Amino acid sequence: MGPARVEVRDDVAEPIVTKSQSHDRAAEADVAVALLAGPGHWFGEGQAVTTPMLAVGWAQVLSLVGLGTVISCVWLTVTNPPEPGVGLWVALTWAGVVVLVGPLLIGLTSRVHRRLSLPVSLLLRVVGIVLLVGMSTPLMSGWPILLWWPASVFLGTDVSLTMRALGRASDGMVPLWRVLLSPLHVSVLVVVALAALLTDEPSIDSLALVVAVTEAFVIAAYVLVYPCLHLMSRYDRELQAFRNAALQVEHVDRANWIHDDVLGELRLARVRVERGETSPEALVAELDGIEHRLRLKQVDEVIRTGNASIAEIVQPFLRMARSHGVELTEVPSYETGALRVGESTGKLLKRAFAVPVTNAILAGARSLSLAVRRDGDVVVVEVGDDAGGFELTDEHQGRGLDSLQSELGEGSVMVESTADGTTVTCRVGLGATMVPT
Amino acid sequence: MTTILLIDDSAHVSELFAGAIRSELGYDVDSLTSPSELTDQYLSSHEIDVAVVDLSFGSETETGVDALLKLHQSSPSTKLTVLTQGDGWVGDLLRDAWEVLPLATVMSKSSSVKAQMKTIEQVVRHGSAPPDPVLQPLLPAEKSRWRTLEGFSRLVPHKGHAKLWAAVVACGPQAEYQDLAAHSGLRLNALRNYRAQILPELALHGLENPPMRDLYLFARRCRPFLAPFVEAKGVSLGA
Repeated sequence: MGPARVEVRDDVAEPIVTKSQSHDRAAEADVAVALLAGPGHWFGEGQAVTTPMLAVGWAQVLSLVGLGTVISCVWLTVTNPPEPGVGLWVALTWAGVVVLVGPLLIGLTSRVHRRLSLPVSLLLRVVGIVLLVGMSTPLMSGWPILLWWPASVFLGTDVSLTMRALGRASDGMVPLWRVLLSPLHVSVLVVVALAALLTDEPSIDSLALVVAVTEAFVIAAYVLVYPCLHLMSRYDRELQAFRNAALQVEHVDRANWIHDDVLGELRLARVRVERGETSPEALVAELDGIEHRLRLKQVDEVIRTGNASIAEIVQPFLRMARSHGVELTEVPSYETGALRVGESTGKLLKRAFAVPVTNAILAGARSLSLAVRRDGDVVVVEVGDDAGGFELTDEHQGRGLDSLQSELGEGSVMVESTADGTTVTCRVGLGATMVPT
Repeated sequence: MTTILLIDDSAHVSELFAGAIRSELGYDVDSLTSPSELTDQYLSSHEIDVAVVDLSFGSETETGVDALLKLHQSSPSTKLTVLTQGDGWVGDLLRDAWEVLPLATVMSKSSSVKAQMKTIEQVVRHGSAPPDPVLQPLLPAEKSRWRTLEGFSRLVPHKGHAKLWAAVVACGPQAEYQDLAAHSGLRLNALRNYRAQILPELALHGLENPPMRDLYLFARRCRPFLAPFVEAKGVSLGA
């Protein structure tokens, strides 16, 4: 039998601090500082605040208000005889609540774009937490100890909101033992225990009670983080599933439309060419017609997004006029074109462009002006042509304007004869569908 | 002999258009189907009088803005012309090119070939031509004086900003602080600060306190303009 082979394994070599481990520790410390800075420091910094985040945020606000209320009630009613400085203690309690709630509300509502720096955020948070701990520690005996309950809710929602704002929601939970053995937790425990020893009659029982209650408080907060993160990531997943389902429906609709409309029209044009039934000019006109219908379909799709710009909606009609050899003497400016509108307004605007432009082309216009301006909550569309005016009783033209009038509302469409043609003015209300640019 | 360069991914249409220019206007025409074909070697061996460039190139990384910038930097006397459908998704790209680069004109693909050739002839003779009215709603009447090639340097004042841009591009539209920190090696709060520092400058580009997704789309769109300043800090902006 030969000598036993000695297997050298890298993974049991003497532990050394690698660059990667050092980096991991730095990253952990970085996240710890970020958690201490709180969600108010991170919200509105490039992330959307979704509905469940708002719900958890409001739960945190309520927990802080509840904590302030409980501490105040205990100071005002339970301490017997009443403490001489009770008014000051209550005021300090609410000061603690305010400095914790303020940045959170600002972050949740995105009202202020200029944010607090990290040192200021940390300072406010530490001041708030120290005030609440300081005002509640002397009361930690008997039933008032229940005030730790809202404190647990505060801590749990606070950690989960900050983790979500940083994008850590899907990372899974840090094991409980790592939380309990973390330097921050051990330090807090020591400070609370020392505070308990400074009370009038310190005893082993009171010390054990304080430590046990603090641990219960930390574990309750830890347990709360899971449902909060689960709620927020579940919302993200449901939203994604909804989007995917909508996309599937869209894909099927689009495939049907390409088959039924686009390919059908192209096939018809091809048959006409093969049978010699069309001239090159007629074929170009037919292809122009197909392109225009495709463009209209494209605009419909854009309008359905609920975020179409006026420039996108007007495009097919400018192209149609050009393809009919009509000179464009005026078009919407960039500033007006960049205005974005919701779905219902977009549909009405499309009609306000379609009817007058089509009428002008049918009437033989050689030049066309298409002006768009905003008048408060109304978009005003003015289409002027040089087609020499038209008869409102004409079957096609009159019907188009009639239906446009009924769609836009009484008095929203005005037809005016000019020296060489007609100007049609339409007023389309932006209403509640207005999308900020 | 006047030389026209056409850059369009639709090779067949490009060839037909080139043929029409040769026969009708008598210019020499060269065609490329991708901005990536515009190599240093090509640029040093060709003298281009007018470049007619499409903006959208499907799934390619580079856009028409890359081609326009390369041409402008290689030969500032080349007249730059954009030929585009002008659909919504190229609207921002068109606006960037219009404001940042000295475009001679902008032509719509929906115009007739005859009208397009007339515009090219006008550019050759006079150096510029009015933009196609169909595309006018997509072009600011006055170019912003803040949006210049050099102005993009203010979006990358320090190496940390270069790392931020590189991380934004690499991590995609759904990125969050955690992802950016992991990619860039920067601390979370450092990232937050770098982002906050360029917010006033971003507002000049039309981005008001942009979410990460908008920041990503801007970085992808303006990558050709940002890349030199990011790379000058020793950071690669990536593909």
